[in-house]
Amino acid sequence: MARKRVIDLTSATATIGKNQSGSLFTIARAGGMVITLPSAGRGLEYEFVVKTQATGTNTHTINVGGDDDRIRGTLLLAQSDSATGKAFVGDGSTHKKITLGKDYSATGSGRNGSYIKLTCDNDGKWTATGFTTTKTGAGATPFSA
Amino acid sequence: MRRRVIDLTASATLGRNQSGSLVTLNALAGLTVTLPSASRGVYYDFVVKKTVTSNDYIITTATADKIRGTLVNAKNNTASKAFVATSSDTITMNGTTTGGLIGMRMRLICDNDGVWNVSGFNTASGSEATPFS
Repeated sequence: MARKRVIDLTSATATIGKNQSGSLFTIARAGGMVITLPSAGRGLEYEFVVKTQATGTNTHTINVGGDDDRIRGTLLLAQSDSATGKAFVGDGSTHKKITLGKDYSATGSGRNGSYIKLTCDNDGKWTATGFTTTKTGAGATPFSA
Repeated sequence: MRRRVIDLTASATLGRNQSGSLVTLNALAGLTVTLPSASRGVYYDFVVKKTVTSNDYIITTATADKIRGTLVNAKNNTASKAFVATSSDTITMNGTTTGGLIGMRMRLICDNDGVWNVSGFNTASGSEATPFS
Protein backbone atom coordinates (compact mmCIF):
# COMPACT_ATOMS: atom_id res chain seq x y z
CA MET A 1 0.00 0.00 0.00
CA ALA A 2 1.36 3.41 -0.91
CA ARG A 3 1.90 5.97 1.80
CA LYS A 4 2.17 9.71 1.47
CA ARG A 5 5.29 11.47 2.56
CA VAL A 6 4.32 13.65 5.53
CA ILE A 7 6.19 16.83 6.37
CA ASP A 8 5.42 18.70 9.59
CA LEU A 9 5.64 22.48 9.38
CA THR A 10 6.10 24.12 12.75
CA SER A 11 8.18 27.24 12.06
CA ALA A 12 7.05 30.77 11.33
CA THR A 13 8.10 30.43 7.70
CA ALA A 14 8.49 27.54 5.32
CA THR A 15 9.50 27.32 1.68
CA ILE A 16 8.29 24.30 -0.19
CA GLY A 17 10.55 22.56 -2.69
CA LYS A 18 9.63 21.09 -6.04
CA ASN A 19 11.22 17.85 -4.90
CA GLN A 20 8.58 17.68 -2.15
CA SER A 21 5.77 17.36 -4.67
CA GLY A 22 3.30 14.67 -3.65
CA SER A 23 3.77 15.31 0.05
CA LEU A 24 1.24 15.98 2.76
CA PHE A 25 2.18 18.99 4.87
CA THR A 26 0.83 19.48 8.34
CA ILE A 27 0.51 23.07 9.50
CA ALA A 28 1.06 23.32 13.23
CA ARG A 29 1.80 26.63 14.84
CA ALA A 30 -0.57 28.63 17.00
CA GLY A 31 1.35 31.78 16.14
CA GLY A 32 0.62 31.26 12.46
CA MET A 33 3.04 30.73 9.61
CA VAL A 34 3.88 31.85 6.11
CA ILE A 35 4.30 29.08 3.56
CA THR A 36 5.79 29.83 0.16
CA LEU A 37 5.22 27.49 -2.74
CA PRO A 38 7.88 26.89 -5.36
CA SER A 39 7.48 28.51 -8.76
CA ALA A 40 4.54 26.81 -10.41
CA GLY A 41 5.58 23.80 -12.47
CA ARG A 42 3.54 21.36 -14.47
CA GLY A 43 2.39 18.39 -12.41
CA LEU A 44 3.45 19.65 -8.99
CA GLU A 45 1.00 18.75 -6.25
CA TYR A 46 0.87 19.40 -2.51
CA GLU A 47 -1.65 18.71 0.21
CA PHE A 48 -1.97 20.70 3.41
CA VAL A 49 -3.87 19.98 6.60
CA VAL A 50 -4.19 22.29 9.56
CA LYS A 51 -3.05 20.50 12.67
CA THR A 52 -2.74 23.51 14.96
CA GLN A 53 -4.96 26.43 14.01
CA ALA A 54 -3.74 29.96 14.26
CA THR A 55 -4.96 31.76 17.34
CA GLY A 56 -6.02 35.33 17.96
CA THR A 57 -5.26 37.50 14.98
CA ASN A 58 -2.57 35.17 13.68
CA THR A 59 -2.99 33.48 10.34
CA HIS A 60 -1.58 30.69 8.26
CA THR A 61 -0.87 31.84 4.73
CA ILE A 62 0.10 29.95 1.61
CA ASN A 63 1.74 32.18 -0.99
CA VAL A 64 2.69 31.51 -4.57
CA GLY A 65 6.40 31.45 -5.29
CA GLY A 66 6.63 33.01 -8.71
CA ASP A 67 5.81 36.67 -9.37
CA ASP A 68 3.39 35.71 -12.13
CA ASP A 69 1.91 32.65 -10.46
CA ARG A 70 -1.78 32.67 -9.56
CA ILE A 71 -4.32 30.50 -7.72
CA ARG A 72 -7.70 29.37 -9.00
CA GLY A 73 -10.09 26.75 -7.72
CA THR A 74 -12.65 26.25 -5.01
CA LEU A 75 -12.45 25.96 -1.25
CA LEU A 76 -15.59 25.07 0.62
CA LEU A 77 -15.96 26.65 4.04
CA ALA A 78 -17.49 24.03 6.28
CA GLN A 79 -19.24 24.51 9.57
CA SER A 80 -20.11 21.40 11.51
CA ASP A 81 -23.79 20.51 11.56
CA SER A 82 -24.57 23.35 9.20
CA ALA A 83 -26.94 22.85 6.31
CA THR A 84 -24.74 24.33 3.67
CA GLY A 85 -21.12 25.01 3.03
CA LYS A 86 -20.10 28.28 1.49
CA ALA A 87 -17.86 28.17 -1.54
CA PHE A 88 -15.06 30.58 -2.25
CA VAL A 89 -13.48 30.64 -5.69
CA GLY A 90 -9.97 31.68 -6.58
CA ASP A 91 -10.00 33.66 -9.80
CA GLY A 92 -6.67 32.58 -11.26
CA SER A 93 -5.96 36.12 -12.40
CA THR A 94 -5.32 38.19 -9.28
CA HIS A 95 -5.25 35.69 -6.42
CA LYS A 96 -1.80 34.81 -5.13
CA LYS A 97 -2.45 33.88 -1.54
CA ILE A 98 -4.63 31.69 0.68
CA THR A 99 -5.10 32.94 4.23
CA LEU A 100 -6.48 30.89 7.06
CA GLY A 101 -7.38 32.61 10.28
CA LYS A 102 -9.63 31.36 12.99
CA ASP A 103 -13.38 31.60 12.55
CA TYR A 104 -15.07 34.69 11.26
CA SER A 105 -12.66 37.47 10.45
CA ALA A 106 -11.42 39.51 7.54
CA THR A 107 -9.65 36.41 6.27
CA GLY A 108 -10.64 32.88 5.49
CA SER A 109 -10.97 30.49 8.35
CA GLY A 110 -8.93 27.37 8.82
CA ARG A 111 -9.54 25.50 12.00
CA ASN A 112 -7.94 22.16 12.68
CA GLY A 113 -8.89 19.66 10.04
CA SER A 114 -8.91 22.10 7.17
CA TYR A 115 -7.60 20.43 4.04
CA ILE A 116 -6.27 22.03 0.88
CA LYS A 117 -4.80 20.42 -2.21
CA LEU A 118 -2.86 22.53 -4.67
CA THR A 119 -2.05 21.16 -8.09
CA CYS A 120 -0.27 22.86 -10.94
CA ASP A 121 -1.82 21.82 -14.22
CA ASN A 122 0.08 24.31 -16.25
CA ASP A 123 2.96 26.63 -15.57
CA GLY A 124 1.82 29.65 -13.66
CA LYS A 125 -1.50 28.36 -12.32
CA TRP A 126 -2.29 26.46 -9.16
CA THR A 127 -5.69 24.84 -8.78
CA ALA A 128 -6.91 24.72 -5.19
CA THR A 129 -9.50 22.33 -3.89
CA GLY A 130 -10.54 21.35 -0.40
CA PHE A 131 -12.38 22.22 2.75
CA THR A 132 -11.65 24.90 5.27
CA THR A 133 -13.47 24.96 8.55
CA THR A 134 -15.03 27.47 10.86
CA LYS A 135 -16.96 27.34 14.07
CA THR A 136 -18.97 30.49 13.77
CA GLY A 137 -19.82 33.19 11.32
CA ALA A 138 -20.41 33.55 7.63
CA GLY A 139 -16.77 33.45 6.73
CA ALA A 140 -14.72 35.41 4.27
CA THR A 141 -12.78 34.44 1.21
CA PRO A 142 -9.38 32.94 1.88
CA PHE A 143 -8.17 34.08 -1.56
CA SER A 144 -6.43 37.40 -2.06
CA ALA A 145 -3.89 39.17 -4.20
CA MET B 1 6.77 13.13 -7.74
CA ARG B 2 4.83 15.04 -10.34
CA ARG B 3 1.43 14.30 -11.77
CA ARG B 4 1.17 13.49 -15.43
CA VAL B 5 -0.79 16.31 -17.08
CA ILE B 6 -2.86 15.86 -20.23
CA ASP B 7 -4.05 19.04 -21.95
CA LEU B 8 -7.18 18.49 -23.98
CA THR B 9 -7.98 21.05 -26.64
CA ALA B 10 -10.25 18.77 -28.64
CA SER B 11 -12.49 15.81 -28.00
CA ALA B 12 -10.63 12.73 -26.88
CA THR B 13 -10.94 9.22 -25.56
CA LEU B 14 -8.84 8.49 -22.52
CA GLY B 15 -6.84 5.32 -22.17
CA ARG B 16 -6.48 3.15 -19.10
CA ASN B 17 -2.74 3.66 -19.37
CA GLN B 18 -3.42 7.36 -18.64
CA SER B 19 -4.92 6.54 -15.25
CA GLY B 20 -3.70 8.86 -12.52
CA SER B 21 -3.37 11.82 -14.85
CA LEU B 22 -4.56 15.33 -14.33
CA VAL B 23 -6.66 16.19 -17.39
CA THR B 24 -7.19 19.83 -18.29
CA LEU B 25 -10.24 20.91 -20.28
CA ASN B 26 -8.97 23.64 -22.51
CA ALA B 27 -11.32 24.50 -25.37
CA LEU B 28 -13.52 27.60 -25.55
CA ALA B 29 -15.83 25.78 -27.95
CA GLY B 30 -16.11 22.77 -25.64
CA LEU B 31 -15.17 19.16 -26.14
CA THR B 32 -16.21 15.64 -25.22
CA VAL B 33 -14.12 13.28 -23.14
CA THR B 34 -14.93 9.62 -23.40
CA LEU B 35 -13.75 7.48 -20.52
CA PRO B 36 -12.35 4.02 -21.14
CA SER B 37 -14.37 1.02 -20.09
CA ALA B 38 -14.59 1.18 -16.31
CA SER B 39 -11.93 -0.90 -14.62
CA ARG B 40 -11.09 -1.30 -10.97
CA GLY B 41 -8.63 1.32 -9.72
CA VAL B 42 -8.52 3.53 -12.81
CA TYR B 43 -8.90 7.23 -11.99
CA TYR B 44 -8.55 10.69 -13.49
CA ASP B 45 -8.68 14.21 -12.14
CA PHE B 46 -10.20 16.92 -14.31
CA VAL B 47 -9.76 20.67 -14.10
CA VAL B 48 -11.12 23.43 -16.30
CA LYS B 49 -8.47 25.65 -17.80
CA LYS B 50 -10.81 27.70 -20.01
CA THR B 51 -14.51 28.25 -19.45
CA VAL B 52 -16.52 27.34 -22.53
CA THR B 53 -18.06 30.19 -24.47
CA SER B 54 -20.09 27.88 -26.69
CA ASN B 55 -21.18 24.27 -26.50
CA ASP B 56 -20.26 22.19 -23.45
CA TYR B 57 -17.61 20.19 -21.71
CA ILE B 58 -18.96 16.66 -21.69
CA ILE B 59 -17.54 13.65 -19.90
CA THR B 60 -19.19 10.43 -20.90
CA THR B 61 -18.72 6.77 -20.16
CA ALA B 62 -18.09 3.91 -22.48
CA THR B 63 -21.08 1.81 -23.36
CA ALA B 64 -23.12 0.62 -20.36
CA ASP B 65 -20.84 2.13 -17.71
CA LYS B 66 -22.44 4.36 -15.10
CA ILE B 67 -21.47 7.35 -12.97
CA ARG B 68 -22.47 7.85 -9.38
CA GLY B 69 -21.37 10.28 -6.73
CA THR B 70 -21.57 13.93 -5.78
CA LEU B 71 -20.52 17.21 -7.31
CA VAL B 72 -20.86 20.38 -5.29
CA ASN B 73 -21.76 23.22 -7.58
CA ALA B 74 -19.87 26.16 -6.18
CA LYS B 75 -20.44 29.89 -6.64
CA ASN B 76 -18.11 32.36 -5.05
CA ASN B 77 -19.21 33.58 -1.63
CA THR B 78 -22.46 31.65 -1.92
CA ALA B 79 -23.96 28.65 -0.18
CA SER B 80 -23.18 25.62 -2.26
CA LYS B 81 -25.53 23.12 -3.83
CA ALA B 82 -24.85 19.43 -4.23
CA PHE B 83 -25.96 17.25 -7.12
CA VAL B 84 -25.95 13.49 -6.81
CA ALA B 85 -25.75 10.90 -9.54
CA THR B 86 -26.93 7.36 -8.94
CA SER B 87 -27.01 5.94 -12.44
CA SER B 88 -25.87 8.59 -14.86
CA ASP B 89 -23.59 8.13 -17.80
CA THR B 90 -22.82 11.73 -18.75
CA ILE B 91 -21.58 14.89 -17.06
CA THR B 92 -22.36 18.05 -19.00
CA MET B 93 -20.89 21.41 -18.04
CA ASN B 94 -22.22 24.35 -20.01
CA GLY B 95 -20.02 27.05 -18.55
CA THR B 96 -22.84 28.55 -16.49
CA THR B 97 -25.64 26.76 -14.65
CA THR B 98 -24.28 23.22 -14.91
CA GLY B 99 -20.77 24.33 -14.11
CA GLY B 100 -17.46 23.97 -15.83
CA LEU B 101 -16.09 27.40 -15.02
CA ILE B 102 -12.43 27.91 -14.31
CA GLY B 103 -11.74 26.39 -10.94
CA MET B 104 -13.76 23.23 -11.46
CA ARG B 105 -12.00 20.14 -10.23
CA MET B 106 -13.40 16.62 -10.07
CA ARG B 107 -12.13 13.10 -9.69
CA LEU B 108 -13.59 10.07 -11.39
CA ILE B 109 -12.45 6.77 -9.95
CA CYS B 110 -13.56 3.28 -10.70
CA ASP B 111 -13.86 1.09 -7.64
CA ASN B 112 -15.56 -1.72 -9.41
CA ASP B 113 -16.13 -2.72 -12.99
CA GLY B 114 -18.89 -0.78 -14.59
CA VAL B 115 -19.18 2.18 -12.23
CA TRP B 116 -17.30 5.47 -11.94
CA ASN B 117 -17.46 7.37 -8.68
CA VAL B 118 -17.33 11.12 -9.03
CA SER B 119 -16.52 13.77 -6.45
CA GLY B 120 -15.42 17.36 -6.55
CA PHE B 121 -16.28 21.01 -6.88
CA ASN B 122 -17.97 22.17 -10.04
CA THR B 123 -17.71 25.94 -10.28
CA ALA B 124 -20.95 27.37 -11.68
CA SER B 125 -22.95 30.54 -12.15
CA GLY B 126 -26.60 31.51 -12.43
CA SER B 127 -29.37 29.19 -11.31
CA GLU B 128 -27.51 25.97 -10.69
CA ALA B 129 -28.69 22.78 -12.35
CA THR B 130 -27.53 19.20 -12.36
CA PRO B 131 -24.67 18.31 -14.66
CA PHE B 132 -25.70 14.64 -14.61
CA SER B 133 -27.80 12.88 -17.20
